Parts: sequence; structure tokens; C-alpha cells
Amino acid sequence: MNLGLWLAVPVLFLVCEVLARTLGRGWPTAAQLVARVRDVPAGRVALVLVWAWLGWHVFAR
Amino acid sequence: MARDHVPSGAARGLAAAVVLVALAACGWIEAGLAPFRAGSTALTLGAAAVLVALGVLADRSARAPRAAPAVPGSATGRGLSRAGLAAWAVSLCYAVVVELWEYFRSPRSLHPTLSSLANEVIGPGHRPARACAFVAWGLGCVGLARRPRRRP
Repeated sequence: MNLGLWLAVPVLFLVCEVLARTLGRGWPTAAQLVARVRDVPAGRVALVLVWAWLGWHVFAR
Repeated sequence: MARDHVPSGAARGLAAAVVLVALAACGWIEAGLAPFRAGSTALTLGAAAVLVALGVLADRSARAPRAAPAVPGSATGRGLSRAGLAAWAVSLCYAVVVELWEYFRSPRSLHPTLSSLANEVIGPGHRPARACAFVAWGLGCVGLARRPRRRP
């Protein structure tokens, strides 16, 4: 199984998060990125739709 | 006026507990249903609709103030670092590329997609883990439907 490619994904996200928390200087954390999208009503609707699709994909399919 | 009624902390806590128990029950039922059936689709999307509505209602009953304008220079303001945004974008693009790369290859046992990896942990047959994942997803529905709050 080719897990190496997948293992790099959480590592990359973790590096971004750690850099955001240590460097500061406007580097956004994941929560800040999501909050920024949620600031806009359309962004909130889009996030809810994506989340609903994810649930349908995981639990109903 | 009834519209001005703000539920007390205890009432909100009780309501949250009721929702959590109901969500856990739904999760347990859902985890026992066979996928690709109308029942699992209806339960999942029905739960999502109810939970999103609850998130919106909870916001209104809490009479949460609208999000304050973002402060320039703050992480939610206009002053986001381009390097930071680029790093997140590259990471996200990498995840998408890996997903597509694996999706168009076979066999799935050698080239797993995110879905097939998740299936190993929360797929049909892993009822407790699947039910827990359903509860977590349901709480995400409520959280995403609510307006973000700003810290003072």
C-alpha cells in the first residue's frame, strides 16, 4: 500500500500549523483560515454544504 | 416579549445534552445501516438539516453579536501573510493531487484514496467507531452553521 504519499499530507498540514503558531507575523492557523471563510455568509453556506456532502459520502455511500 | 427570551445556562446545557444523546442514538442507528440505501441517505441528510437548523437557532437564542470587523494586521484581518496562505494552498493542492493520483489507479488495496483509508477505520463493520465519527460530524454541522465569534 502506498501510504507514504498520504503520510506527507498530515505532515505538511502540521508543519503549516506549527509555523503559524511559532512565526506569527500573519501566518494563519487552520482555525483562522476556516474562521475567515465563515465570516462571509456565502462562505459559511459553502462550508456547511461541503460538510454535508462529506457526511453523505462517508456514512451513506 | 418572547423573542427577547434568552435561555439560561442550565437550559442551554440541558438542550445541548438532549441533542448530544439524540445525535449519539442517530449515530448508532446510522452505523448499523447498510450503505448505498435510501435509509442511510435520509438519516444522514436529515440529521444534517436538523443540526444546521439547531446551530442557526442556537445563535439567535444566544443573541450573539455580529462578528466585529476584522482588525487589519490580525490573522483574520486583511494582513494575512502571503507566504502563509501559499503554504496552506500548496499543502491542500498536494492532498488533492494525491487523492486524484490514487483515485485513477488500481487496485484500491495498493492505491488507497482518502475514502478507502477512512473505510478501514469507520467503514461498515466498525460500528462503535462509525457512530463516534457520526457524532463528531454532527457536531461539526452545528459548529459550522453558527456565526464565528470574535474574542475581545
